[in-house]
Amino acid sequence: MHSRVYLAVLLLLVVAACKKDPVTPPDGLIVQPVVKAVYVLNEGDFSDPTGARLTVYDVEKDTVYRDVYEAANNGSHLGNVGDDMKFYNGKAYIVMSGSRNLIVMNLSTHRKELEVSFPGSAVHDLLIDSVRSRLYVTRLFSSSVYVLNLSSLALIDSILVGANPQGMALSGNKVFICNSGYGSDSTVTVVDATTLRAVATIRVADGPTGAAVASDGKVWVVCTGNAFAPSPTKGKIFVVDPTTLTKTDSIRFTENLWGSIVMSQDGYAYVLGTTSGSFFGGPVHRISVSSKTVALNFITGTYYGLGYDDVAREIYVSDVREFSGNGDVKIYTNAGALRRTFSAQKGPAVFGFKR
Amino acid sequence: MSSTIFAGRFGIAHGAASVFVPRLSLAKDGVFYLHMIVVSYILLVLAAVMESFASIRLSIDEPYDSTGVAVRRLADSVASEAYTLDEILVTGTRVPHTAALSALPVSVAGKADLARTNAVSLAEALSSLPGIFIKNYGGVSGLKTIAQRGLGAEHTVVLLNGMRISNVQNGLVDLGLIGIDEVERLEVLRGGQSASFGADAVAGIVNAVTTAPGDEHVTVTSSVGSFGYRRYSIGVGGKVTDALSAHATYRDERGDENYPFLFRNGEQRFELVRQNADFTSRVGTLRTDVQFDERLHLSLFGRTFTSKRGVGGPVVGPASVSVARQNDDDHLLQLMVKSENVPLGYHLGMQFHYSYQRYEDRAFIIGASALDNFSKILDYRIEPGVLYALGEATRVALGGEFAHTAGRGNVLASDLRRVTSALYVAGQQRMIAPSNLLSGVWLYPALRFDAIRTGTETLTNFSPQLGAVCTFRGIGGVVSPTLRASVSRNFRAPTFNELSYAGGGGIGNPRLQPERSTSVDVGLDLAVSLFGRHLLQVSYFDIAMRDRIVWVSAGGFGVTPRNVRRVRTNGVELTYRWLFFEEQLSVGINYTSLAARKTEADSPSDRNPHAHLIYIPQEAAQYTAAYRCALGDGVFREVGAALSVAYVGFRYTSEDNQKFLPSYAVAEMNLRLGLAIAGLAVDVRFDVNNVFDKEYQSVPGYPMPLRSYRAACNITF
Repeated sequence: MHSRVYLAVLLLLVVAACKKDPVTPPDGLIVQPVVKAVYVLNEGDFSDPTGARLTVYDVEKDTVYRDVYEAANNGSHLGNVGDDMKFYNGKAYIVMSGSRNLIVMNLSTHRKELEVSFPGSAVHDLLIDSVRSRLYVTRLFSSSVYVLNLSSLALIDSILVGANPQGMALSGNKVFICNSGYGSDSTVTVVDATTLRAVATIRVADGPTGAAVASDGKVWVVCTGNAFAPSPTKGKIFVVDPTTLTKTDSIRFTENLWGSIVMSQDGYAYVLGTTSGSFFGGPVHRISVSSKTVALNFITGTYYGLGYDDVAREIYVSDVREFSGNGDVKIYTNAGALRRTFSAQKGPAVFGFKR
Repeated sequence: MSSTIFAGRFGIAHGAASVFVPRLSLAKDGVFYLHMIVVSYILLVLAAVMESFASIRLSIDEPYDSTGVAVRRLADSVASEAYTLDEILVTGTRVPHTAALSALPVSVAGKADLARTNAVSLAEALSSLPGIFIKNYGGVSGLKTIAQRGLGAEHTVVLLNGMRISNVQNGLVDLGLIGIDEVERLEVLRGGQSASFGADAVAGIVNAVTTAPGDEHVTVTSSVGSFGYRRYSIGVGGKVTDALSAHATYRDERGDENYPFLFRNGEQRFELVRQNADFTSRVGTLRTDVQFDERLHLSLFGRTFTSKRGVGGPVVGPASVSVARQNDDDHLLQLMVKSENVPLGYHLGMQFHYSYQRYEDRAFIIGASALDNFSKILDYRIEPGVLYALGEATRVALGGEFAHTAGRGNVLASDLRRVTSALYVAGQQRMIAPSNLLSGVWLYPALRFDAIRTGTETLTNFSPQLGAVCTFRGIGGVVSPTLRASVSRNFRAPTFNELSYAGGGGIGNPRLQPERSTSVDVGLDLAVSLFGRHLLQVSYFDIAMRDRIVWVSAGGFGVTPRNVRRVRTNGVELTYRWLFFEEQLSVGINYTSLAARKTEADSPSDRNPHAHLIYIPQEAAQYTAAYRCALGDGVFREVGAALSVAYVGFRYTSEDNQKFLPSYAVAEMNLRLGLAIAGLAVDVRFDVNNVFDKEYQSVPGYPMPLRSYRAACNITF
């Protein structure tokens, strides 16, 4: 009898001693319909299956909402490592390289409309061809690009390109695909958007990673350089004529570039450099599209993501704070003055503008 | 440099650093030596007080030997329920002593203890011990590493037969690759022990002792289980001559590991099957023992191991697929000569250890090449030592450790060589003679000097340690307490990866300094005879670490390791066993509560200066109930059963402690039957793992199997 009582008391004490799990932080607020908003896709931790999160900045109410996708989808998450996001026709196309999935989200309700998985393919970057209703998706470690139907996400074709394809741009009926090779490749594959066949390979410099189309239709390609090559190379930007597929101009940098590039309608390209001692991006450099003059360190700091709001003429940059917690988003005027800072979520990386 | 002192205890300022002088700061060393003084003082005062009361206590007339306790060496099946701490000899120490006389908490598991668990490898066996958390990357084939006392795998030294097998390349030992059937005895000494074992003995050491040749026997074992698990082994052993005995084993183990698991995303629930986690491994061992005379003994042990396995990788979505594969080869040869002469004994250990690891992932292509990394480590070492008894009260161990380690691999910037030269002195000193109440008070001073040259860089380190034990005779014939304490300075040497990594995404740092730490342990052991027998061990530990190596951004496009972090881990470990019904039944509880935190920011931009370390549970417990009964000389010799429930508390998974993996409790049970059929000893067992089909993860993204079964039959001729 004594033994049993003793055993029961002992077990009770030990069980009672166990700490309870922390309460999971609330998954954010239900977003009221927003008219003008900036969407921030947060990468999240590489090890976190639920790491990719969506933060929304309601421009009119000057209010920030976090975990917007979870709030609208009964707690479901986007996936692991949110890498790219593009808007078209009231929908957001969001791709996760870790969980290998692509989600189409309604921009009014934030509800998921479609999802497709790519087992074995680290899908990484997106490009929308609205004319032909196609969606291009790079396969980061498979040297190829998937072409999907923009409405159904049905696979149309797979195109072989160079190593580790990342940024893409569409000019006329040509798709320019940057074969970054993480610095080991130095080519851009040009694909005919009608036939979906590669028509040219343009040699640029080490690590072509980002591409954007200027107002004159020319394609700007950002090459990061290769810091780990036996003879390290620095960053470079090439301007490519989409008609002749020739390089018409180039801009050399004395540092490596991060790889991001955005164009503004008022005639500037913005790129991210790299900060010495940081693995998480760099300052914003501004380049005149017409004169090619470079304003180095137009915005100082270490920024991981870059966006441009053509309506408000504002520059959005993200500071991931070394992924040690939630990152910040900073909004600068096109004159380079800081207007606002807000806290996003872990690893803010990609911006989308709903107008 | 200006704060460098010549010798901390003298507090003499010295302007220039000497390579033979540890770089200690005045303030930190002051605290360290204060700890040593306080621990010694408390123990001595306590002993003196108890001594003064001895005359009024009951006199319990127990026999004891010259060291004050009954030291009985157990040939085999040590640490079964029938033995107490003062009967268990701990061999993984420089001055061998019984568990009851250890200044640090000791867990010893013998064959009988291991048989009660469902363990198939060291990893599962260790996971049941206090203070230890096994980071399990899933199933049988997944990587399994030890996290002891809130620190990493690189902070525990793993020994095989007392000699180091930890991998210099990455500081890890995959504990899933050492089968439990190879092990006769498992010793875990928790707490810092660089004074005895040098670099990396920060959280503790694990010593696996392989099976010694016994009487003539042939043993055949076959196991089958869920998810295509198959295991076949044969062992042959016995005496070749009166002096020479040998034991050889061969084992083949494989599994498909295509176990079902659940993946949840909000309200969505996916029933998935683990893919690319199959494995095949083969291991052969040969141990030869020569007993030249009563005290001179030679042992030769060889082990060859090869394994091929899929690496399932993290599951971060329903479409997660991995095609990565890993091969491991590990070959080891040990020669040990030991003389137990009194007063002067000696030992000489020599080891050759080659390990090869290759990891390839055809789906991970950078540039034009798929990921295909390999590393080869070749380690030779020689460890001589003497043990001298200076009268009845004092024993001194003097020895050295000399090792040459060469590393090659395509993730290293260049081939690396490490030469380790170390000298140590360790002692056991009885301070107070046995009396009616006190069995005695022992001090364990130890000091070790290490010079570790890697490439062109040499690091030197002095590691002091002072331990103390105060044992009491049974109070009232019921309670037998032992108090123990230890304080030590410990260090971890950078791994080859940390020094010379060049595999992309980062770069090693050849100028890394060792991590340095101070450990304090205080504990109490109690043996109580009341409604059976109760064995209780409670320990408090505190480890303050500085210069912890963390991979931080290096500029450009990579990360590099730097000595930036300060960490403090402290907590309480409790082990309790209750044996009753003539010790046929036992109930055990292991419980650990700890805090492992950064104590300051890694850098000015670090937002989490006092965050808990990730992946470390703050709480763990295991409850075990075991029954074993001898049935007599008929067909049914013995029956046994065990049920255990392991609880692991939540683990933070993000540096800002905003995300965590939930706690879990997993049960396992087994039923064992010993038979005697036609002169054969037949042991059959049936194991059930994850009895209640618990869905859980040990490491984020790595699902563990739901309920699984395993049956085994062991026939000994």
